[in-house]
Amino acid sequence: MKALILLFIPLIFTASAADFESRQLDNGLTVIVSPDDISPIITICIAVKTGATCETPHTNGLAHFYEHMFFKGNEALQDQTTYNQRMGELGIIRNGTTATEKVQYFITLGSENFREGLEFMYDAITSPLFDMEEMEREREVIMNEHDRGLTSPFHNLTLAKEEVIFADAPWRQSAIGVPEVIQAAAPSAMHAFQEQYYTPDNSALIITGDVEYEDAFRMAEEQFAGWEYGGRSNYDSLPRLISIERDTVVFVDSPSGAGYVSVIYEGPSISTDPGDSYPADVWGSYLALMSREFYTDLVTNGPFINVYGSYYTQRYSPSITFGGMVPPDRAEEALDLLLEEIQQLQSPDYYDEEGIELAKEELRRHRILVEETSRDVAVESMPFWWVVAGSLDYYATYQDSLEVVEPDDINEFLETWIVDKPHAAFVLMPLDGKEVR
Amino acid sequence: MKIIFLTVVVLLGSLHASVPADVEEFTLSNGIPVITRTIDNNEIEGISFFIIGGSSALTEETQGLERFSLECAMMGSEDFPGPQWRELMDRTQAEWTSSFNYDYSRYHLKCISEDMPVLLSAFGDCLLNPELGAQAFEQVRESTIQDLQEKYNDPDSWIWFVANDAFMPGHTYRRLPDGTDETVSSFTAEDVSNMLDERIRSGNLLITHAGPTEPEKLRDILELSFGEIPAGEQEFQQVEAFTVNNDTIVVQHREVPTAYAVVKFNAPPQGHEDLQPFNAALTVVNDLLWQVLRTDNALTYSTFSGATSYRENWGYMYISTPQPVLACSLMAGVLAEAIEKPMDENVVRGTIEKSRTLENLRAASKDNQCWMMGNFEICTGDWRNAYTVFDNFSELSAEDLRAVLSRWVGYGGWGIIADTTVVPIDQLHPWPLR
Repeated sequence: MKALILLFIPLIFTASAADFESRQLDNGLTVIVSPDDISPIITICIAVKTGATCETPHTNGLAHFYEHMFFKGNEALQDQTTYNQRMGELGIIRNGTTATEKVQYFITLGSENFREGLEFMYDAITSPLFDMEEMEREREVIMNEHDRGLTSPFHNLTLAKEEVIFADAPWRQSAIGVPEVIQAAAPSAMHAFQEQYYTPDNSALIITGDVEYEDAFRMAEEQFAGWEYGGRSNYDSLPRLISIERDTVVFVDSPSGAGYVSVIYEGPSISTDPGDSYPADVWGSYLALMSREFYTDLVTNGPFINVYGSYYTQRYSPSITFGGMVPPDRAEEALDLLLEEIQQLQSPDYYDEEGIELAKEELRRHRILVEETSRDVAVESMPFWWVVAGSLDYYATYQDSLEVVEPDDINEFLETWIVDKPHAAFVLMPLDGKEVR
Repeated sequence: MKIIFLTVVVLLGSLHASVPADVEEFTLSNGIPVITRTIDNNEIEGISFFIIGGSSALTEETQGLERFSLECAMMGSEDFPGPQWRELMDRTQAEWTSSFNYDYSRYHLKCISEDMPVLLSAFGDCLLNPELGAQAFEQVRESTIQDLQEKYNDPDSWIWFVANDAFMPGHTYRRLPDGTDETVSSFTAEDVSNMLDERIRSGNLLITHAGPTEPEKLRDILELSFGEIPAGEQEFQQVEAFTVNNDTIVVQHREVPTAYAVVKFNAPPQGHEDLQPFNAALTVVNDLLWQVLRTDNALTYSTFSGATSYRENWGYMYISTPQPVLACSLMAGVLAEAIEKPMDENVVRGTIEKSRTLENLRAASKDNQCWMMGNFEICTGDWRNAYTVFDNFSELSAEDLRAVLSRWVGYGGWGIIADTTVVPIDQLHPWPLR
C-alpha cells in the first residue's frame, strides 16, 4: 500500500480540548498528535476498537488475554529476555487496559528515543508471536488476576448487574472473561482475534508529549504505513446490549459487610443518539453539585455516604446510574429515599438555571483538570473518546455542544430516558439469610 | 520551623544540575515556610499543606484523631458555612486530596489559577474557625468508619497492616493515622477542637506549591489565608529505629481464592546516604521479581518491591498468589541472591533508564512536585534532595547495589492472608531473606 499520509479530514483543535491534530494514513490508521514540552518524555498509545463487547461466550476473555500477550515476544524481539532488555535500553514504562468497549496499550519513554518507541509499538501490534509456552504461563497469571477480583467487596454486585441489565449477553460486560475461555485459549484463537480487530483501520495511534507535529506525523507514517489494512472489524455494527424491561429490585449478599445502593436506567448510545449525550452530561453534572437537592437530601440529610447520578457514555451499554455507599444497616432505607428522589428529579422544577450553568462550568473545568499531563491526554482522554465516539470530532466540539444545552433539553432528556421508564435497583448488604422485599 | 526529630544529612555536598532553578522559598509573617516552583505550562495550580507529626502526634487512644479532626473541619467554617463551602466546591471543581501518614498529614489542592485565592481563603478559615456542626460531625464519623471497614475487608489493602504486626510491634508507627473503628467511634467534639488547636500552629506546618502563580502573588494569597494561624510548635521524640530480632510471620485466615503476602525488612532511615542506593537496589529487585515470579513461573498477577520514604524506613516485597509457600520461598530467594552476588549489569542499567522516564513523568504532575518538595523537606531537611535522587541513582554499579542490600537487609516480618483450609498453616513460616 502506498505510504502517503492522506490529509483525510484533517482536524486541528485547540482551546477547550488539549491541542491536537489528527490525520489518517492510507491504511486507515488514525494518527493523533498532541505536543507538550513540559518534560522530555513522549507517550505513545495504540487504541483499538474492541473489548469484551466484541466477544462471544466462546471468546470471552480473549481481548484481555491479548493485553497480557501484547508486551511479549514478537517477530523483532522474540524472547522475553531480549524484549525486557530492549525496554530497559529505551527506558520504556508500559501498560495496557482492556475495557468493555475499548482496548489500549501505551508506553512512555524519553523523547530522544521516540523513533525507537514507535518501532517498538509497531512490532508489538503487527507481529505478536503468541508463543504457546508463554501463553501457558500467562493463563495462570490471568487466573490469579481473575481470583483477585473475586475478593473485591463489590464482586457480587458486579455479577448481579451483568446478569440483570445485560441479560442477553452478560459476557459482553466482563472484560476479564470466563475461566473456561482463559484456560482453553490457543494461539489460533488469538491470531483470529488479531486479524479481525487489530488492524490499522480499527485503531488509532496517539502521540503526546515532547514532540513537534510534523516530526510526529512523518515518523508515524514511516513506521506504520506498512501495517496492512484489515476491513474485517464488526465493531461499528454490534447490537445494543443494555436492556431493562421492567422495574426490578435485586438484593445482593455482601459477605464483607459493605453497603451500596444503585438504581440503573438505560441511557442514550453515543453512536445512535449522540445529541442526547450533551444534556445527559449537563444533567449528571447538575446532580453532582453538592449545593443542590440531590446531594443535600441524600448525603447531608440522608443515609448516603456519597452519591452520584450520572450518564456513562458508551455505544452498546450506555447507562444512567444513581447510587452510592451506604451503611449496610440503612441500605433498604437508602433505596426508598433514592427512589423517592428519582421521582422528584423528573420534574423540571427540580432544576434552577443557575445550577445548570454551574454544571456546564463544572464540566469545562473538569476537562482542564483531568488533562494536566500529556500522559493523561494520551491514556485517559483521547483513546476513550476516539473509540467510543468513533472519532475525535465529538471530543473537539464537546464543550461548544455543552454550552448550548438549555433547561428544555434536559427536560426532554428526562422524558426520553427516565420518566415512566423501567429501572433496575441493586442493594448490596449482608443478607445473613434474612427475608428481603 | 524546628524539626528536632530529624537527623539531617543532606545527601549531596553540592547541588546537581537537576535541582530546578525555578524554585523559591519564603516564610509567611507567622513563620510558616513556603517552597514554590513556578511552572506555567497550563492554568493548573497544585498546592500542598503539610501538618508535621503523623504517628508521633498520636497515642493509642487518639489514633485517627488528626485525620478525623481535619475532615470535620473541612465540612465548613464561620465564613464558609457548609452550604457555601459546598457551593464553592461546585463552582471551582477543585480537587482536594488528603493523606495521613506516619510522619505528616497532607492536604493537596488541584485547581485552576483564578480559583486558588478563594479556595485557600476558605481552607484557612476551615482550619481556624471550623463550624464543627453535630450533623457534619456524625457524617464524617460514619464515612470514616465505612472507609476503615472497606480497607479491612479488602485483603489486598489489609495485608500491609498484617505485616506490620510482624515487623514493628510496639513501634511508634503502629499508631495508625487513619485510626481504628474503636478510636473513631469514641471521638468527641471537644477532642476535635483540642486537636485542631494544638496542631494548627505555624511551627507544625509547611506549604509547597507548583503552578503558574508567581511567588510574590502567591505570598500575598497565602498571607491572607494562613497568616493568622497562631505561632507555636510541638516537639516530638525522634522516631525509634526498627528492631527486628528474628524472622517472624503473622498469618490471618480468610476464605480467599488467592493468598496475599508482604514481607517488610529494615532499610536506611531518611537522610542516610545509603537510602537512595537501597531504593535503587529494590527497584532492580522489583524487575527481578516480575521476571522470576510472573514471567518465568506464572505464580502471580502482581508482585513488586520497594522502600518507604518516611523518617524510619522499611523495604518490602509483595505478592498475591494461589501458591504462597512456593511463591514466598522464591521471593525471598530473589532478594537473598541479590545480596549474595551482584545483579546483572544489563538489568541494572535498564532499571535506571526506566527510572529516568518515571522521574520525568513525575515532573509533569504538580501534585508530584508538591509532594516531592514537601516530603524531602520534612524527612531530610532539604527539598533539593528530591531532585538529586536520580543523580545518585545513575552512578550506581551492580556491586554498589549488592553491598547496600547486604548492609541493611536483616530479618523479615512476614504477613500472610490465606485460606488456611487450602494452604496448611504448618507450611507457612518466615522465609529467611539472607
